[in-house]
Amino acid sequence: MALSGIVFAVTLLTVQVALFSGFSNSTTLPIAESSADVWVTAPEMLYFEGTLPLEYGTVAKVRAVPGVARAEALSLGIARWRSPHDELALGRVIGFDPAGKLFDPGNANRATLNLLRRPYAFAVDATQLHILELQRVGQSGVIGTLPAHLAYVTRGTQPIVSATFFYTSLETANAYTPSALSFFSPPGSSPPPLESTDPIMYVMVQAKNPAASAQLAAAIQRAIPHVRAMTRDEMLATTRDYWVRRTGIGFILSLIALMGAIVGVAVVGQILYTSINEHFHEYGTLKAIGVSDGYLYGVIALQASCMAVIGYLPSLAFTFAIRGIAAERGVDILITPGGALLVLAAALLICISAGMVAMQRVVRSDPALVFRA
Amino acid sequence: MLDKFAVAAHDLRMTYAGAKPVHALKDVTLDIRQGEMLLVMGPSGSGKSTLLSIIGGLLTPTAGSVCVSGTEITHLGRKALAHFRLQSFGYVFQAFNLFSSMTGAENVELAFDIRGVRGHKARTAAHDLLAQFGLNEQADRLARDLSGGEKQRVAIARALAGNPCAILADEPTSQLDAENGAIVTNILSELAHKRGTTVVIAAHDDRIQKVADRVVRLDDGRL
Repeated sequence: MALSGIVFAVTLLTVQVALFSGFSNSTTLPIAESSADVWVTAPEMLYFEGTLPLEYGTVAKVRAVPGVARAEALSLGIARWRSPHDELALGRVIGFDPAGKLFDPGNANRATLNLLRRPYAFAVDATQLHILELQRVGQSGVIGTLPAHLAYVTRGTQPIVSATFFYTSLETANAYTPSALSFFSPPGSSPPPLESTDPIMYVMVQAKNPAASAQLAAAIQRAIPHVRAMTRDEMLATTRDYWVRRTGIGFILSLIALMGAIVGVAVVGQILYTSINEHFHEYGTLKAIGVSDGYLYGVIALQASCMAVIGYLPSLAFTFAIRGIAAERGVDILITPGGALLVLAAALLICISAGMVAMQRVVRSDPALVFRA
Repeated sequence: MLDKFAVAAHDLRMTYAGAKPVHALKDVTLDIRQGEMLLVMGPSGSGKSTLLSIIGGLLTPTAGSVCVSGTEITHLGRKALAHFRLQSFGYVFQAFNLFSSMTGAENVELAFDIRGVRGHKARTAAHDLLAQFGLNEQADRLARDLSGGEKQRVAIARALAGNPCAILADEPTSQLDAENGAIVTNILSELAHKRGTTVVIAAHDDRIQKVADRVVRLDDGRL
């Protein structure tokens, strides 16, 4: 009974922490898909999707900065998708160079990436297929007024907080962007190449010396006016912090994780209190014999630690088990080594502190009670 | 003068506070020799358990003094008193008070452990003690599965783990049948008369009365 209660409490905490980690990780998925050392964007940038456009010509300017090994463009636009059954869905078009080396959604191989070089071809995460009313590769819909053909399906590339991501070539993405002139391109023609004034959102940069990314970012910012250059870690942190700290989602998930911890403390505390009460005479006997308070606390700390570890293992297994089910629904439950250790530490802290509180009754009890039973 | 006695309790008074204060002990003076088996008798509520608790350092009297092996224990602080109990007394309880989810040997081993004797040494010592009370075969059974007599013998072995100068037993035979009651009585008698351990028992049992060196009666808190 005691163990099942602790398993419940620790599972609650584990799932909440894994959900929070998954959410936090999910917000930065597009950045994680890139091997860029430095990201260049508009100075007003708030998070990955929340930035202002640069001109495509910025890519060439960045390439000219000493220390840059490679620079590629990434564009972001709004997509109004019409399914084969004429259902509307909203999404984001992410344009990149399929022949490039700095962005690779879903770790696709070269042959697969090359599929996106075809006009109006796109890739989408498997979790989004039902939203787009697509079942398999080769099916088509419409984005804006232009055709859109599903070229391949990715996995683990769709942030939970974002509308559907359509991964496509820069040219196709530019054509899908409503403000572009190519919006009026007749269906069937290939989208035109980008011009230097066409909008893109990011320039992804590979540094000649990745260890000096921060210095390269500073050099780019000095060389090109009105841009913000960030290292990969800064880009990840900026986007993650935006979602976690500046939106209600991060607060709510943090609150739920905190509630999980509070419920855990309450449940474990009650269980240990009941357990200690059941064995009150046994602990009282130790006190009567003359053991120190420290010894009594040590006994309960050891017992609580064992309970925490024994309760932790099935909770971890349960969380791993539901991970697959959640992933099918696009919800990332992420158990990182750090997160797993954090939950173990929290479980130990919860159990030990609850045990200490529960032990107060024994420590404060009159040792002579055992003779009055 | 005090050193002649294992326990010297003088002018003990104990009053339990409350809306109606209860005077459990009234000017009790009692000296107990080393190796003496003393039986404290009296009706329920007469103050037997209170006297045992005060002598054993579990309760501090309202007035009076208790000297054990030359140490005045009524003036000791909480921690010092607990340490003194650990080093000087063994307790045997009416309800055995064993850890039911531990084996008999583990219960005794625990008593060694809390006195700093650990590991193999504690295990061997625990089994040796249990063997002295005929519990070789029962040593590794869970305490909850032992009979009442076996439980009380394990409890006595546990009380002896620290080689105490005195054993304090509260109604040690009241939950036992005649046969087991006799076994436990004999063990307590041997502790006093062969080992020289002072044994103080609060009980109603006539069998103990027959083997006790001295019997004192408490009535309404007075000897």
